Amino acid sequence: MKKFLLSVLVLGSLGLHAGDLDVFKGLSGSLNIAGGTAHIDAEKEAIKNIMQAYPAISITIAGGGSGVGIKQVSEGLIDIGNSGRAPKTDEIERAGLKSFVFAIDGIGIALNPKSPLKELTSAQIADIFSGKIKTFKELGVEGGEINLYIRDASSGTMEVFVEKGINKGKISDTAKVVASNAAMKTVLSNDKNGIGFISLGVADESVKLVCVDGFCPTTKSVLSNEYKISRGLYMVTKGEPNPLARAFINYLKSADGAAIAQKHGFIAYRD
Amino acid sequence: MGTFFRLSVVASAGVTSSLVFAILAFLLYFASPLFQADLFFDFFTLRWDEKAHAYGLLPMILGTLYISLLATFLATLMSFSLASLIDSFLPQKISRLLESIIVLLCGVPTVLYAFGALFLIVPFINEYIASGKGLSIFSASFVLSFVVLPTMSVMFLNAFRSLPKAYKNAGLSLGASPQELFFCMVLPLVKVEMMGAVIFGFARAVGDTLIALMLAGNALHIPHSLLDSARTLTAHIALINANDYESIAFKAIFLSALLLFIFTCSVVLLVRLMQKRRNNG
Repeated sequence: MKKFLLSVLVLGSLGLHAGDLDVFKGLSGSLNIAGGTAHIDAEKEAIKNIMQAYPAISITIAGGGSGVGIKQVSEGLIDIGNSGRAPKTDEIERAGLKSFVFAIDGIGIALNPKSPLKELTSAQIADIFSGKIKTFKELGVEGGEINLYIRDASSGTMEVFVEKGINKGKISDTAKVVASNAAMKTVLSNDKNGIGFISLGVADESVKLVCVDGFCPTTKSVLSNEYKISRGLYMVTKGEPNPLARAFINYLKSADGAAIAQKHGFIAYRD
Repeated sequence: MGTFFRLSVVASAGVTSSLVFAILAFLLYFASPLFQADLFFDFFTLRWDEKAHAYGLLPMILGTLYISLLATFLATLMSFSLASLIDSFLPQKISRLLESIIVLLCGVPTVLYAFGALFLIVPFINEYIASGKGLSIFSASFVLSFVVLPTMSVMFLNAFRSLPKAYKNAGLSLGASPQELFFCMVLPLVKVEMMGAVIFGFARAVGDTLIALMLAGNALHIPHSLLDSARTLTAHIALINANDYESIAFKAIFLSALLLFIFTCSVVLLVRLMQKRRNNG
């Protein structure tokens, strides 16, 4: 019991901006979130803080991809849909969607950590993913045939990559498809000839990120837009968010939320 | 009490069986706009590319067939050996132990197999067999065969044990060895049950989503070798982008589901038909 009390005290004292959680005062009930897989780790941490402070609130979070998040929130199945891309005009009109950005995320071109490759040009990236460049030798480094890994069609990371990474170019049909950012990390760390793309918030030392056109993906280069492949992380609601969803969005856009976003490799966005 | 029990049994049987028809009606309703001649045959082409408005389902149909046929083949070999050993050739203590292990295996969720393979088999193939071919038809079928194995073994065992004890005693009293008994008497008598086990195993392999989704690589091209990546119909349903209810891609999901549904139903009908013919003949 003593230990329990102690840990409660320690946990309590960790919250620097204790006031930020006040938006949940007087609220209870459940909030369901699903969609984009880049959001999950950061939002999970926020949810942990909230549910520890307000046990009457229960929040669930699931993946599925940005497309799934937008579809489910449009149908009213969930309260907040996570999306790694802006909702499209027709999606907004069909269901009266509102979107809120809480962070900016870069998308890194990722390799196995053992790969000697350090840098690529946009043109090379487009040629690699279209299947024109087939081996690492053509890129001037040691290695065998390139194995491409991409995401499924409902991925926001994929949409942004196709638009900004390869300028809407073609993708070879031999590319293997994985269903989340986390799965991308796993397959690339297991394949020394693999190339894929991944949310900077999810990337860690199990993958290696290359520099594109002379700029390496860092918080600074993403913010200055020198590193071009980046996107906002959206939370989407159907119409005006309900009180609990509103509080959740406000919390993620508070100083606490910004600290969480930064800790997970994103750039906090507070308008 | 008796009538109440009977009523509730009839009611639950009614609900369950009408559910099957409700699913069929639901699938047919959503897929029906696709049954126009010019559109329908587009689904049986070789290329799926939503951007180019190509909606060929053949790569997925082929992927499903390759992966589940190979998995069924491997699983049949393994579960036949296991079941025959347990039934006739091992000391009773060991076979009891093996049998309870198999029953335990029935309860392991498929995601555990897939997850385990992702960290064991996939890196092994990438490193030692063929670089970058870790996510392939082979890995998916190999792991899938372990998923099918317990169910199939139990069905094989039940088949071997379906024979009356008197048959075995008669054989033994004629001086037959366990091998002779098993191969010359048991096997020929339970052929139909064994076929049933294999076919159900195949249906189980066709219906599995997670193993193929996580291990087969899901590439959209037509696979040429065992180490190529492929996408199954079930994985395709999970991966398709279906935000737009009006899109053809969304309706194609229902066509894929309908194909799977028809397939499983025909498998069950086939088994029933075989059993009926044997019973009549």
